[in-house]
Amino acid sequence: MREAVAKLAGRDVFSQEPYDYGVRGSVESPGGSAWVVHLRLETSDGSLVGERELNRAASSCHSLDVPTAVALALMVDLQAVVAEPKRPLPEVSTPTIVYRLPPAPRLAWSVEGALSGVSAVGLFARPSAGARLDVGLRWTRLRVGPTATVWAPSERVDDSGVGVDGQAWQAGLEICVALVQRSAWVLDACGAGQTGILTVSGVGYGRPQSESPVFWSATTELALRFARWGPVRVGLALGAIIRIGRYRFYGDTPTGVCRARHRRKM
Amino acid sequence: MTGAEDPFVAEDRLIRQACAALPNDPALALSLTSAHARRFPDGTLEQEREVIAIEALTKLGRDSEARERAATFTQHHPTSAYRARVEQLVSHK
Repeated sequence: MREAVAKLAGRDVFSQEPYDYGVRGSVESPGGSAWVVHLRLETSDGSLVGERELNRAASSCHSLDVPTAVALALMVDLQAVVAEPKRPLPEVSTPTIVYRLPPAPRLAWSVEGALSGVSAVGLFARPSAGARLDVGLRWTRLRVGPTATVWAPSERVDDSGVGVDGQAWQAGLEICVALVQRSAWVLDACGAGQTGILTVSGVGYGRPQSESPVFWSATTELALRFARWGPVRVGLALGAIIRIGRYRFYGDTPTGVCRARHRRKM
Repeated sequence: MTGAEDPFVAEDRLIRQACAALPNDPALALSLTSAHARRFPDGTLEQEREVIAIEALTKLGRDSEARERAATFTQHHPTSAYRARVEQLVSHK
């Protein structure tokens, strides 16, 4: 970088000496294969003069090497302006540049994890809430990884006091594709296949009854992640869960609990 | 049959050449920025292209064009790190 800037600016501009104007730089990958270089032109007391942000969707941060060198050369090349009597800059001495670029991550892939609160309408007898854990391996625009959801108990009882109480656990595999990647936000389209167990207990039958049918589901969603604090992002996802096929029961034939469940479309 | 050039590489090459030509051959620098504008109107280096073009225009004595382009630049990029440089380039003309 030092050589590239020197070649364009015609002199070495990197220095640790006291300076009047300096440029501070940082590079980050906001997600997937997007890279962003932030350059901040400031005075010696840290006052901001101006900023420049360079971003590209590429597998390597080195795709921004040349743009960064050109930007630095243009920012610090005030000497050409000063040198011409018609355009003096008495308040600007020859700039000394402090350019601090942290070591850029060279991995094209990253591991991501997410802990989410979820809610669903229509999946069970009543609107349900739960918690979901995702772990994914992101490579370029693709993210693949396991997902697991726990649905909180959801009870439905009719006027006679008879009903069912259900709770579900799901786990499966999710694949996401980044539709849009920006420095401030990422929009993912995701699809997941999951299998789960729905534990159904009878309520008001006078004796304990329960069933644990297995069910399959497919999930599609759009997930928008924004508001970044360090490595943590906050986001919002909206999608649909489609239950596939009928419940398959463990053990004996369905009991009265299950018949009650059938009547209530649980 | 040859493969198409990587657009990032092509864009970088145009602006790097324009930047290198600016001190001694502003006409060539201006020509390269025009080529960049045609090929990469929304390229990563759009701001750098405009700064080089404005300085090239001032060096070629095309002050009114430089002022017009500088006004557009500062309007579109009010917080740019190049703003002071652009304003200085056209303020003494």
